[in-house]
Order: sequence, then structure tokens, then C-alpha cells
Amino acid sequence: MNKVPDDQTTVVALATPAGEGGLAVVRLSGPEAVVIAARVFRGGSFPIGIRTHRAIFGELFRPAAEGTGPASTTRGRDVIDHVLALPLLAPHSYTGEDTVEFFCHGGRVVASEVVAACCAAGARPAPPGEFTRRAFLNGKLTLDQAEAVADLIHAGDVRSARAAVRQLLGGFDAELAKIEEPLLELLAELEGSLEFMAEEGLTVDSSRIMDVLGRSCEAIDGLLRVAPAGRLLRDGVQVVLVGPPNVGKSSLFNRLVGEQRAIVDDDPGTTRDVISTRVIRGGQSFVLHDTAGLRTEADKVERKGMARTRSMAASADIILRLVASNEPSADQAGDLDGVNAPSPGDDTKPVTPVVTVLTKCDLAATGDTTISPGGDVAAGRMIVRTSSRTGEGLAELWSVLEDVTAGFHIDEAVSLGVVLNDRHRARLEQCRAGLQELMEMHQHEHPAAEVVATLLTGILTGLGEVSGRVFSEHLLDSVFRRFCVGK
Amino acid sequence: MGGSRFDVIVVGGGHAGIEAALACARLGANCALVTHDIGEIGRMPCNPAIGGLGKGHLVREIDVLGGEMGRAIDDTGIQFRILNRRKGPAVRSPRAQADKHAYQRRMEDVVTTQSSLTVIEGDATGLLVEAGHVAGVQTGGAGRITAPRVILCSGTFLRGLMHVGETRTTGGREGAASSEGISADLARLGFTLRRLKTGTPPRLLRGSIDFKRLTPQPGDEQPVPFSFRTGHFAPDQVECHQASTNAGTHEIIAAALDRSPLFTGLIAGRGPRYCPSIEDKVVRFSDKDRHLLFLEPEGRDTDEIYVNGLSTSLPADVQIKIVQSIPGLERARIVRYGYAVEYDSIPSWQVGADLQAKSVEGLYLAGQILGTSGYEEAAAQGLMAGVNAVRGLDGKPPVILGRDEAYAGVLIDDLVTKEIDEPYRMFTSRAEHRLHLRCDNVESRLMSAAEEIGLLTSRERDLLVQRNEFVDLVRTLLEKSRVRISGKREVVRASRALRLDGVGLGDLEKFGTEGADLINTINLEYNKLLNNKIPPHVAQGALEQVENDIKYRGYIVKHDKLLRQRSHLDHLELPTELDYMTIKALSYEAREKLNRVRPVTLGQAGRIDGVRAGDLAVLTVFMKRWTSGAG
Repeated sequence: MNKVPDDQTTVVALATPAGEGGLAVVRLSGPEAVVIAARVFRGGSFPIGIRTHRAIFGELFRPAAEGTGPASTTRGRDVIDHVLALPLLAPHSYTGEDTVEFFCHGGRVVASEVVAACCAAGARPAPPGEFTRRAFLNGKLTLDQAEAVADLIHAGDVRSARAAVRQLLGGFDAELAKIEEPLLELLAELEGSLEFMAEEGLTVDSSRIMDVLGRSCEAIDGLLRVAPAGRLLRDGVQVVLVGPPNVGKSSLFNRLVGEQRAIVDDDPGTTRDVISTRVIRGGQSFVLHDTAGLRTEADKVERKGMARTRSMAASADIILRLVASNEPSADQAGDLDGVNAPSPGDDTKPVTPVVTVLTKCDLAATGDTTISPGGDVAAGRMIVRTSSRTGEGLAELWSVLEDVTAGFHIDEAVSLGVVLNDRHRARLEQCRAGLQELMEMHQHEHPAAEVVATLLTGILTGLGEVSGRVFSEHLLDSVFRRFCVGK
Repeated sequence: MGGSRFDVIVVGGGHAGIEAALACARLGANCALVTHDIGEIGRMPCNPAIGGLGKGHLVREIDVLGGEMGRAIDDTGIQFRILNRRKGPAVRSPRAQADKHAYQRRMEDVVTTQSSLTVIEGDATGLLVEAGHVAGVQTGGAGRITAPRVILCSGTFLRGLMHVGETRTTGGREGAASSEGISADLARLGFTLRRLKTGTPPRLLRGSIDFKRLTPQPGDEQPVPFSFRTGHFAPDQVECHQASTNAGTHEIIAAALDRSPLFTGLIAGRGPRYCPSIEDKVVRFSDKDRHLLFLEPEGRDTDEIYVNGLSTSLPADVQIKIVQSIPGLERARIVRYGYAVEYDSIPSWQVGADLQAKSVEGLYLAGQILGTSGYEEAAAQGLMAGVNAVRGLDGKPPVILGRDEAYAGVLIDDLVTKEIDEPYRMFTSRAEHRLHLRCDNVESRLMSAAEEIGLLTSRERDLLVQRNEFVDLVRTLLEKSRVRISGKREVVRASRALRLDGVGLGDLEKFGTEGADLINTINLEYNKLLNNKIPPHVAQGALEQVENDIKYRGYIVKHDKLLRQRSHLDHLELPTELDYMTIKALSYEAREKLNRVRPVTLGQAGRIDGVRAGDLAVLTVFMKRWTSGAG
């Protein structure tokens, strides 16, 4: 019998983040890892007598011209860096293939030279995620674990790292089983009444059916409620600053970020584009977006910026709506036109929380506000007075942002060990919709038990895609345990 | 192959063997049926009945595809009932009590008078195989018989061992010698064998039963035949009776467990959970204070009454006590004791979807030998094995029924895909397309398969065509006509009106003059059918199909939507010669099972228990790599 063709190529990439640092690790992985390493590294008797997991100190150099071997003396070689080479031979490496890792000095230049040298020696640059892909294909990681590794790598903060680790450990499975089991029991009862106890006239109570279906919907809702947490953990809470030109967005932005990242200028319309920066507070990432001011008169570049602002606001997790304390009525109209409104007919999309920020409060006359601070928290609107110049209200603003974020149930997700990726979420939503439909159908049409059983089977099959259980085998187990079948 | 007289040899004259042999002969192949006793052809060793939940569906399908079982039971049945009448149309299933002896004689008759079919009385003692291809069968007494195709339908005979209490007798069933040589040959050829067991209850002397104290169970007032080919149908029906065990019975059983081969571990095989012995029932469901039993006559005039629900292998003296503890049976005499039989089976993953053995070309297996239980399951496999064996000879591709096409398709797909570790019986819950696979639409959904197979006569095909055209006509009529819903001004499509009200075609008259007109038109067409000699029950079935199609269309659409998320996997083919052990990303269990089953599509792979969604994802990734060449 045949094998599926292996990855034939050997790839190389920087395994540590690009940028400044004390160390950089360049990883070679593939069938020719050792051969290629030997073309760029000399240390001890490498590669003769190499042992897996035994590091060797030596020189990393640009490979000699094609056709010639490496120069035999140090002086002849074009040395890039002194490095530690660590061979990790198959199958005991991250990818499951032969790998050689070079620990070199940090810094963009050296690291990229090392990578270039390996490429010149015959390696191909690894596309993003390649090492993890190979690890997965070689059975070192399961699908869920591979996804979790990706999340772990990209985790910007402690919480998401924690959640990713939990997923690596399988918290999700337990939650799913809790949803599947009562449905399976119900199905077994239905099948029992149809198939096995036909003679004894057994039927399943309608109220029991509605009860089990209803509870499963609730359980799925529970999981879905923490679903956005996945994205929030991975990407951070997206906070978008909107408001008319010159209201102080960039100033506030700079203040929140803690460094000068945006250009502040008195000329309205200075910020043409969107500037984003990640800030980590209390273990949670926030990504702040400064935007072009929305105003009716604008030139072409400005209008483009405004269009981008609108689309950013539409996908924001929190909107900071800035209003100048000293010009409360100026051009407020149209700043958030339709951005925050739910789409027609779609009442499932939650309304984005809006925090109204009264900027430049040091310039406002006391008592002279058309919008009173405090606001109506229940309606999702909160109001904070700030001054970027004096720093007033900033701590309060952060506090409000953290409160709102708490409402996203991220902690719940982390503690459940449930971080849903899009695949999971889509499946769960489908199943929930199926259950809902089934409940409505059962209530209004009273279909025969065989219809309920068949549709329920379809739903469980969908759930089985997430959990990996082919439950049709377990169904019969369930039935025979409950029913004395004898004809 | 030059020199052999026969094209196909069928080993075994049971329900699988009969269908296989008849199909081969009727398709023009020169067929030999080897059986140890011509008088045993078509014997029903256990339940004297055909059909039942799920099984009735199979019989209807076998019939439409050109098999024999449906006609046979129509001719020899002594009671007919539709089960689950008050439940939905998808689980309604016909069942009939048979006159065992009449059934057997009729099948013997049909088989011995079939042209192109030679019955050879003798024991099959060995398989002849040359270079991985079957060459024939060795018999004790009739010498070597050669043929390029062999269909093994040996039922429970392979190294059969019967148990009554502590007594063991070799034999495939009562009064019949077991078959010893074939198992050894199969093992030598590399087949894995597995021991299974099945049991049968005692038979009682009719005259010794006090029927007045038992609850009667009559047949349907208007019995419906199984076969679409059956014309006039007015059987003279008998009654069955219901009895039940009680606490006293259970005590007797519990006290004797140490003498039960099941519990003393003497019986090695695994038995079916859905047909437990009475010992099983009493032990596993000890909280039940009674178990129902059904007394079924084995024939119109025979003295033997079969006690359904009392399957057992307890010793003879215990069986007597058990029977006599049951009200109405205090003076009953046992004519035959219940017994269990252990036998060799070939775990079914060793055959492909055409029922041909994966390791020996030209060798087909069908029936209980593959680990199924039930006459109907066996007959369905026998039919398909026979059809495919002949098609193989003619160089035609095999007919593989889909899971969305027929219960026979579900049966065979389950056999070759799943881990079957107990005797497999059909249940409607095994079919994900249950709402579509109904008894009322068999003629419709299997029309094209029947044509492809080619067993029906042209008159029979014509009958089906007319019936199906009638269905289309009525359906179109209901789609296109509009009626007024009573009490409202609304005018809606007739089909929608029926769906909303949940009523049958007969109630069309509720919908004013338009409704009445529709009824008239339908009746006209209906009468045309009858004038063309379409049996009334077929025409009636057609109307039922229209009704149920309307009623269920919405649900079927919803269900298809749920299934469609996976159905694309059924079109992704897997390479046939792949060693799954080399794909380390798959779980070990998945690799083992994939190598064993060798699924043809990704969809089939997903039906294997132990192959999880993650494994399917891995396969998808690898398939991309496989089809695009080396990475």
C-alpha cells in the first residue's frame, strides 16, 4: 500500500518575534535540516556525531558559492554570528521532523542574515504557521491543540494565554458532553417508543420533549454567550474613538496610550486615517483606534478617512463618542448615523456599548452642559468628563472601559476553559437554531414522534461534528439500557 | 472460466441463498445451489414470521427489486398486520405470520423449478481458491464443483454448536449437521472469524394451551399484502395470543442461572441485545414484574405454537417449569425445547459494498454469516450479492444502493462501515433518511434501481411505471389546483390546504366545489389504474404516498438542510490503496479502523465510530496533498 507523500521541503524561519531582543532562534525543519545546517554551521565535529538535544557552540556563516564546500578555516568563512546549534531529531521535535535550531544574538539584522544564509543553503522560507501545520500533520498536535497554539502564540495578554492553555487541555469537551447527553437520552426514549415498545403503546410526553429541548437551548446559549470572548481574547477589545473634527480625539488617544502616537494639530481634519495601538490593562488587551473626525464638509482624502471611521465604528466592541464640553452642539448630528443601530430584522446582534466622553472639560464653564454626566448605564450609555490637558477623568474613563469589558464574559470563558473558534461557534449556532425550530414545530404542529426523532438525530449529528462523537452507535447502547426489548 | 458447468455456486438454501440463487438464475447465469437438504430450503428456524419494524421495509424493497420473499409470504401467510399504525408513516411496517411448512414447500418448489438453477444436495466442505480468486466448492458426496463465482450463505452452520442447558450438540440448527470445513478454509485464507450466538424459544403443543385465558391478537381487518405483484388478496387469518411471565416465573429462572450456558460462560459468542433470552431479561431488568410473550402458530394446521419472547438455553427441566408457571400454560407441553446456537461469522468489514470479499475475488458472502440476524436482512443481502456476482461476470459495475435510497442500502453500508459486534438487526432508527424511506414509496424510490438490476418482467415494470405516473399526476394536480379553505376567503394550493389541516386526500371534499372536483378527477384516474389491472392495494399505496409526501415534505427539507452540511463529504473519494497507518496525525484507533474498512468516500469514513471530526479534518488536508502530488 502507498503512503501519502511527505513534505519534501525543508523550511526555515525565525521562531522568535521579530524586533530587538537578547536572543533570536532560527529554526530549520524538514528532511534536509541537518544537511542544510552543515552548510552554514561549523562547530565541534558537526554534523558528524551529532546527538539529538545536544547543543553545539560554533560559527554560523554564509554558505560558500555553489559547487564549493565550506572553507575549512575560520578565516575563509564569511561569519555572521557565533551561535548555539541545537539539533532536535525526528520524531522528538516540535514538528516531528528533523530540526536544527540556531540560537543567535537578537536584533533584526543578525536574525535575518541567519535566515538568509539558510535559504542560500537550500532551505525555503516557511510560510506563517508552517511549523505548527507540520506538527499537526505529523500527529504531534490535534486540530484543537494546533488552533490553541496559534492562539497562544498570538495571545497578547495573560488571560488569553490562560484560555488557550485550557483549551489545549480540553475544557470544551466536557461542556459539550453536558449538552449532548440529555438529548441522547431523549432520543433513546423516542426511539424506544417507536421501535421497541410498539406493542405496549409507549409514547414520550410532549412536555418532556419541550423540557429537554429547552434546556439544551439554554446550555448552548451559555456556551455561545462566551463565544465572542474568543475573538476578544485573541484580538483584544476594539475601542474606537469617534467624534467631530477637533474634539480632541487624538489628544485623548495619546493620553490613553501613554505616548505620542497620533499627530495632534489644531487644524480640524488633521487625522486623515485610522491609527491603532494595543494597550494592556489589568491583563486584558485593548486596541484603541483613533479616527478621522466626522464632519459634513470634507475633502476627498478626508471623506475616505470618514468612511473608514464609520466601518471601524460598526465593528467596534466599545465606541468612545467624544463631545467637546465647550461646544456641545457643534456638528454632533450625523456623527454616529446608523453606526450603532441594529440591522433591520436582526435583533440578535447586541448593541455596541457607547461611552460618551465630554472632552476639554477644563475649558467648559461649570454647569454649562447640555449633556449631564452620569447617564443611563442600562441604556448602554455612560458619560465621562475628561481633559487631556490636565489628565482629569482619565482614570475614570479606564474604569468605565474595564466595567464594560467585564460585561463581555471573558472571565467566564477562561474559567470554563471554553474559547470557541469560528468553527465551533458556527456549528453550535446551527444546532441551536435547529433545536429552536424543532421546539416551535413541536408546539404548533405536533408532528409524529418519528419526525421529532429524525430531526433530533440530525441535530445531534451536527453536535457530534464538534465533539467528534459518532453518536449513532451510542444511541443503541442508550436504548438497550433502558428498554427491555424482546420481540 | 473454461470447463466449469456453472457460473455461480450458492452455498446454503436459507433466505439469503434463495434470493441469491434465484436472482442469478433469472439474470441468465447458470447457477448451482448446494444445500445439505432440499427439504430445508426456505426453512424458518426461529420466528415463523416475516416482516416487522424495519424488516417489513426490507421485504417491500426486496420485492420491488425483483426478489422472491414478498410474494412467498403473501402466498403462505396466515395473519397480516401493519405495525405502528397509529404512529407516523415512516415507522409503519407490515408483518405477517407464516405457515412455516407452506412457506418452505413453496420456496422449494420455486427453486427446484427455476430454469438455469440446479439444486445439488450435499454438504459444502471446502472452498476452492486459486491465486486469490475463487474457483469453486468442495462437497462431501458430490465432489468438486467449479465456478468463477461463489456466494456463501451458510447462515448459522459454520461450526455450529447448539446448547440446551448443559447439553451441547454440534449442528447448525436442530436436526441439521454443522459445516466444519469451510471455516477452516476461510481462516486459512486470512479471514478473521468471530463467534456469534442466537437463541430460539420452545415450541408448545397447541392442544395443551388454555387459549381462553390469553389475550387474542387478530390480524388486520383489511390485510395488505407485501408484494406489488400480488393481485387478489383475501387470506384466511388466524389469531395469535398474548401471555406474560410473572414473579413466580422469574424466581424459577433466577434459581437456575447456574445451569444456563449464558451465565456459566459456556457459550462464547456474543448475542443480540435486542433479542435477549428470557434469562437475560430477568437479570437485566429485574425491576419488571412481568415480560410479555406472544404465542404464534407455526402453521395453519400444525400443532406447534412458537412462544415469542421466551428465547432460552436453560436446561429442559427448567424450561418445563417456566412454561407451566405462566397463566394459561399450566398444562402446556413442550414439543421442542428452546436452544442457543453458536456459530462462526465473518465480521462484515471484510467484504466490500458489493458484498464481495476484499481478499478473495469472486467470493461473495451474504446473510447471517456476515453477522446479521433475521430472514429479511439475509434475503436483502442475498439478493444484492446474487445481482452483483452476475454483474461482475458480465463486466458491469455492481449496484450499490444508497443510504438515502433504501433500507437495504443502509444495511449493507452499515455492515461494511461499522463495527458490528452483535448480530445486526434492522431498526428504522438506523436510517438517517427515515422520513423518506417509507413503505408507501418503495415503488417510487427504487424504480430506477429495479430497472438497472433487470429482474422484473416487462409487465411488472409497466405496472410500476403506471403506479408512479399516477403518483406524479395526483401530486401535480394538488400542486396546481386551488381550493377555498372553509370559512375563509383565501384560496390556496390544494396541497398546502391538506398540509395545513393535516388531513388526508379523502377530506378534500371539505374544500368546497374545487375540492369535490379534485376528488372526482383523482377517482377517475384511480379507476383507470384498476381497469389496467393494477392491484387495488398498489393504487391505494400510491395515494398514501402522495399524502405522506405532502405531509412530510417540510420536515424532509429541514432534515436535508441539517444533513447537507455533511453530505459533501460523500463526494470526496478516498484513494483505495492508502496505508492509513502512515498518517500519524490520525488517532491510532482511526488508523486501524480506516485500514480495516477502507472507506470509499470521506462521508463513509465519518460514519466509522472512532473516526472523529478531527480525523476527518486531517484526511481532508491529506487528500489535498494527495491529489496535488508530493508537497
